[in-house]
Amino acid sequence: MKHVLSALVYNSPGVISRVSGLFRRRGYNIDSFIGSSTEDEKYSRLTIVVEGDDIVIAQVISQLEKLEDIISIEDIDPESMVSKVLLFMKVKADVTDRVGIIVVANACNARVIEMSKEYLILEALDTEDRISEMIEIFKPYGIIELVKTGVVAMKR
Amino acid sequence: MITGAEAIVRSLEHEGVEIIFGYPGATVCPLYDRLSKSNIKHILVRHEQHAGHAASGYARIKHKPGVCMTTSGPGATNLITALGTAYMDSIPLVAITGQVNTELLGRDVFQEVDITGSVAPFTKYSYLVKNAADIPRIIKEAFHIASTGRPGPVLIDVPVNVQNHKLEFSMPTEVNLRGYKPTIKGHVGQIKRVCKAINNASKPLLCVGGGIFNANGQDKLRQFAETVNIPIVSTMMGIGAVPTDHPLYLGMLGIHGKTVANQAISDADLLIIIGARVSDRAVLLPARVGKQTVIVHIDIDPAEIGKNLSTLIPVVGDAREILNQIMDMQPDKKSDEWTSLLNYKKSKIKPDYQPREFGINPKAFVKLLTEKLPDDHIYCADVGQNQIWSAANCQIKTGRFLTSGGLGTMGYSIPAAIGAKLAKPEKTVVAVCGDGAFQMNMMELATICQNNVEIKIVIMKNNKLGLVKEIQKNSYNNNEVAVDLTGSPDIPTIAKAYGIPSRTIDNMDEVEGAINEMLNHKGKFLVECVVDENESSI
Repeated sequence: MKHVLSALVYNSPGVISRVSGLFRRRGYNIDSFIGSSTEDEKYSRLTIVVEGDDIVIAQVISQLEKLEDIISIEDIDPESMVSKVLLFMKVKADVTDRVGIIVVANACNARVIEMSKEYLILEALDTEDRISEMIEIFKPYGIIELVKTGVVAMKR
Repeated sequence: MITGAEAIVRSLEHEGVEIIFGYPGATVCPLYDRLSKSNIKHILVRHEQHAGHAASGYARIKHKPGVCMTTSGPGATNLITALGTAYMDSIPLVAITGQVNTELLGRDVFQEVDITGSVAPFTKYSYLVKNAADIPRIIKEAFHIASTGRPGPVLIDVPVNVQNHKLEFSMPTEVNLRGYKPTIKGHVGQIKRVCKAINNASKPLLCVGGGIFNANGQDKLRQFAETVNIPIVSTMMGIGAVPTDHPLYLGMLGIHGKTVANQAISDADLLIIIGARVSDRAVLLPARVGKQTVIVHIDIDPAEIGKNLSTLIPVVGDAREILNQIMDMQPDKKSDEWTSLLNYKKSKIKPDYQPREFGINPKAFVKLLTEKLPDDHIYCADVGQNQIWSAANCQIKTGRFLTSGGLGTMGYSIPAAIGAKLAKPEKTVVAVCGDGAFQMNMMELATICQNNVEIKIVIMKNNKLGLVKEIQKNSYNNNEVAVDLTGSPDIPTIAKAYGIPSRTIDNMDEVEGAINEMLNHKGKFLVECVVDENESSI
């Protein structure tokens, strides 16, 4: 089962490598890993999605807590968090397909942020599940390139 | 269906492996079991680090990856220094380590270390094999990665249960690594710029590093230098790229190098660096190089170019290939003005080969030794003062000079000599080390005896860690700390204990006789040279 871990860490060189190295070394599977600065430049926030049962997750947290760089870490309950994924998707869109794609995009809460003769670039901000669904929906049109962030989450 | 262990052995056979240097343990037992049924020869070293160094000596002479193998945990960590040594000198190695069961990974069980993580900074690439079916592909890739582009060590970590898993064996015919395509041919536009720079230069200079050997380009280099009449200096790794007595060769550069070589670097108006990373020890940069000097940097590793020295004309590719390309464009032959000036300066330098009041003059010894050795001998220098004495005074003609240039790893010479000798048994191989380094690798005398590796060993004995002593003398007010080797064993007695004949010499009159005795003796032989502890490096 997927768990979303939110860690407050010191914004020091090598912190990402130490955290990701621990996952690799211990054989934990990272689903996604996002790090960025916070309102206080001394600290960074890591949001890590890990796949594993409760025993594994407890181990992951204990191991991470041992790292000097980690100030606090929490396994966020899905019921009590807001979470989003950002997606950019370049979809094939010639004259005949274009209108259809825009209609579908609107229905998916995606925006067209760039347009050319051959393709559209769509932007969507949504939950991980909805983003996955959206990708499936657009596959038949032909996805040229796709990039998405991992999950960012915050406890309510 | 065959086991993972058998698949490893078969894949190694496919890659043409003839010798593995190793040390067994619980997690490589399946592999050793299968290896015993193969024609691949296993050389049991006495410390895992030396398995790596021996594989390095082997690789440098055989011109293909050396293979070493150890168990998990301490076996693997002991290998790290050797991998670091090979990495710094761009030597192709394939290291195979055992690992604990896959389901125990990450749990800190007995003899588990995260070796792929530990060696990440010292390897070109590493694999943790989780699926036995991947073994043939991984081994094929490992040899390809280790030996192509800028060579380097590759580590394959194989959990013991994977060695016992069954697979359907099929060796892939080609490697398919997206994102790994080393450039071989130099960019034509850049080659043209190099030729133009040569034509415009009045004081061109070639600076050659270890990359020339990896490219097998010694003959091309010589041809190029002679055709265009350009003098050559080398880094320590580049010693022997052209014969050291070649009229165009000025010697090694750097803090321990020849004055004329360093002067040439300062005076040159065109510096063509080939297969060298010009580290701090090689060139006192950027102070040495003239501000107006045009710098051409030829290297197969684009990340090397511009790292330590700002380059005007970068050329990425294989040194041999690029030298060919440059010659095809027929750059002008340079006049003798610059070369004869340098030759005049070179002739004015009289090296200090005088006898000493006490002990052997190691510089004179090295010169005499290498003159007496066959032209194609392989000289393995260790690290410390002996390395400087060797590098500055050895005469290398068609042979090779092997040393740990980048990492400066003490204890390299004897295991590297073992590897070199096994790679080309017909060559005379000599290992020269100090009494400090000798005590880091003397357990390998057993390996020499067990496998009858007929190498010659020279030990410069001054009862001190001479190079550190020299630093303490010059920079720390002569405060000698932890450099005294009192308590060391009597070296001839050690040799005798292993059944290796030896001779100790402590004055110059005996040098010639001792060298003759060593070289005429069929088989392994050890010469101990007593050296004054205050003998300087240069």
